[in-house]
Amino acid sequence: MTVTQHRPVTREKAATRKLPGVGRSRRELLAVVALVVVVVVVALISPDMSTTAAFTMTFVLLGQSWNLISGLAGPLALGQAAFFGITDFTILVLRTHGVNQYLGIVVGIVASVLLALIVGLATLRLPGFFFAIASLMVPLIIQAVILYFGFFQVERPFSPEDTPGDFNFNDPFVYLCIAAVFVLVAAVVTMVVKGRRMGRYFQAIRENPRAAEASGVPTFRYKVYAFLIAAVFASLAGTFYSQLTFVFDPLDAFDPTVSVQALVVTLVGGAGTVLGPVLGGVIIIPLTQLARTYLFQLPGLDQIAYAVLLLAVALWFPRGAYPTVARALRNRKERRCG
Amino acid sequence: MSIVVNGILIGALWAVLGLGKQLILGVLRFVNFAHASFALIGMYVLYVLWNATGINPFILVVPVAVILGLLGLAIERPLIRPLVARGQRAQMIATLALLTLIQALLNLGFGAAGRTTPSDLTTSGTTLLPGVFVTWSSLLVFGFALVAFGVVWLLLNRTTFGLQVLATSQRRDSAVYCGINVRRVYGLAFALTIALAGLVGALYAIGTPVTPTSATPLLVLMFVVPILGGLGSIPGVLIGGVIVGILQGLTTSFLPPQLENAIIYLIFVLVLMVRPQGVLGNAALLTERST
Repeated sequence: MTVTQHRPVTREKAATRKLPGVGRSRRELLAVVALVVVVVVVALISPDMSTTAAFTMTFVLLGQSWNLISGLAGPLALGQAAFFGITDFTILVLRTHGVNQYLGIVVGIVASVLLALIVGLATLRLPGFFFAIASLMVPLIIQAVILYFGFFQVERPFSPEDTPGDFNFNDPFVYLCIAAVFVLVAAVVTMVVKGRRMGRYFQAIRENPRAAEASGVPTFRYKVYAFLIAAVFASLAGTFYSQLTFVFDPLDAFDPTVSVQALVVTLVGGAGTVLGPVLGGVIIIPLTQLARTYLFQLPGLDQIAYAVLLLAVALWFPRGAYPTVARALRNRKERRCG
Repeated sequence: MSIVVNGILIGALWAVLGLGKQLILGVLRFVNFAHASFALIGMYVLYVLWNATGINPFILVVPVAVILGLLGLAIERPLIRPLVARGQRAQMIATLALLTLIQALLNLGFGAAGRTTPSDLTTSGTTLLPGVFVTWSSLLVFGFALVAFGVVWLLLNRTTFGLQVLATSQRRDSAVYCGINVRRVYGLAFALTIALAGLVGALYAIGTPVTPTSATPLLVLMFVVPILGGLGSIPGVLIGGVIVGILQGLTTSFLPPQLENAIIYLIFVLVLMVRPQGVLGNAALLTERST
């Protein structure tokens, strides 16, 4: 018999600011640190893997972005590519005009947050399915506008005087390390948000928006907050993507495939958890990258892999790897104790 | 005037696209993002058939619709049926995956280059009203769209199947108690919508180069049309289709062509914000009922 038992919450425990479930998030954070360290060490041992590892961290960030808005707060966002792409685009366009890249990154993130503010204020009031469609449209609108202004491809310029003072490192390993730090930051932010009042509000909104609204949760405002934080994470992903690829193509950067990637990474690992996107990213991205490089030379194979994975997860494992494994372990423990 | 007439003609095609969407979304409450990619499959099936036989593409659109209908029947059981009970969220995620999967597979099979099924009817035409020139092909497309619309309307309003669909859409459980094979209704209705999507794709593809990204504007249109017309309302899609057709004509004649789709997306987002229930819509359909 496997009956999930609710742990009794004593009065003084409930009264403290520590909310139930925080301990679990902290353990997840430890697992995140462990995974990130493993990835960095692997790249350190075999430098060939550095680029793959850096891409992994990039898409973990993108996954964490989707996780925050859709896994924690609830609304199904299908257009995280918009924030990813706009930062990528801004950085590279400014770079071709000779602007210092640190400034470019800041401008890119600010642009993405502003975009998220506009889009969020306009669409987050819509009920579930309508928000999903509207968010799916956003990257397509931006893509059309950027194409209209004639940016078919923006190449990343190279010059011999590229220095770290311009956020320029010739070694993908350095990007990997910086991205790894941001992955940790994102995980900490997610954990903190989850453990605080905001996280409780998110949970209420996710489980039942109407009931949350009725019990006084400012649902709209908190959904906008989640959307803004998620936009920052997606921008960070876009930042590293702009450095790791050599060309920006609006048809790629704003494609629904990018948004799909955010979903895959998170859903495979487990949505709504701190560990989920990291676990999912570390499982999936190296596999598809390596398969693309070494096994098949087919165009778009990774897209097919992502789509099949997402379909499989949505059909058969809606909970994702981490919650499934964690639950199995907990059940075993309970059986042994009881 | 020319814009309005041509808008109405192309609008009928969008109305058929919206009709399929309306059936699946408004009536069966299944969110299918992959709908547009079935239109894309229709475009390529038409190209392949035309390449193999060389028959006039306007005749070939009928077998295309049949093939797509069979495809719909084939994938309904493994893919769609498990999702019906899962709720909108899982449906949206899974069909988004299906959308990118179909696009990537077609890209793999046909490459990114445009494939055109030509027809000399796309350039020649007639003067319908003083100063209004329409091509034969747009008239034919209009005719096909009307016929498809009429057939579906008859199917829904004059047959037992239509009655079963109506019953299922109103209350699934009660429909089961009345002895309706609800799964069969879902399956056939899904296949019907896919056949319609294939028909629209094939008609759209005649004379237009088709690439794996050709379906992206349709992805948007298929939501715009039913929502403009009103979710759950079959006559509404006609209105929605015509509105979209005319708007498209206006934007292409007054704005640069690259922005055409952007404007439609924008109008759509505005409609969602201002009047999400559409022109003839039932506001109650919006909020709930994920199953």
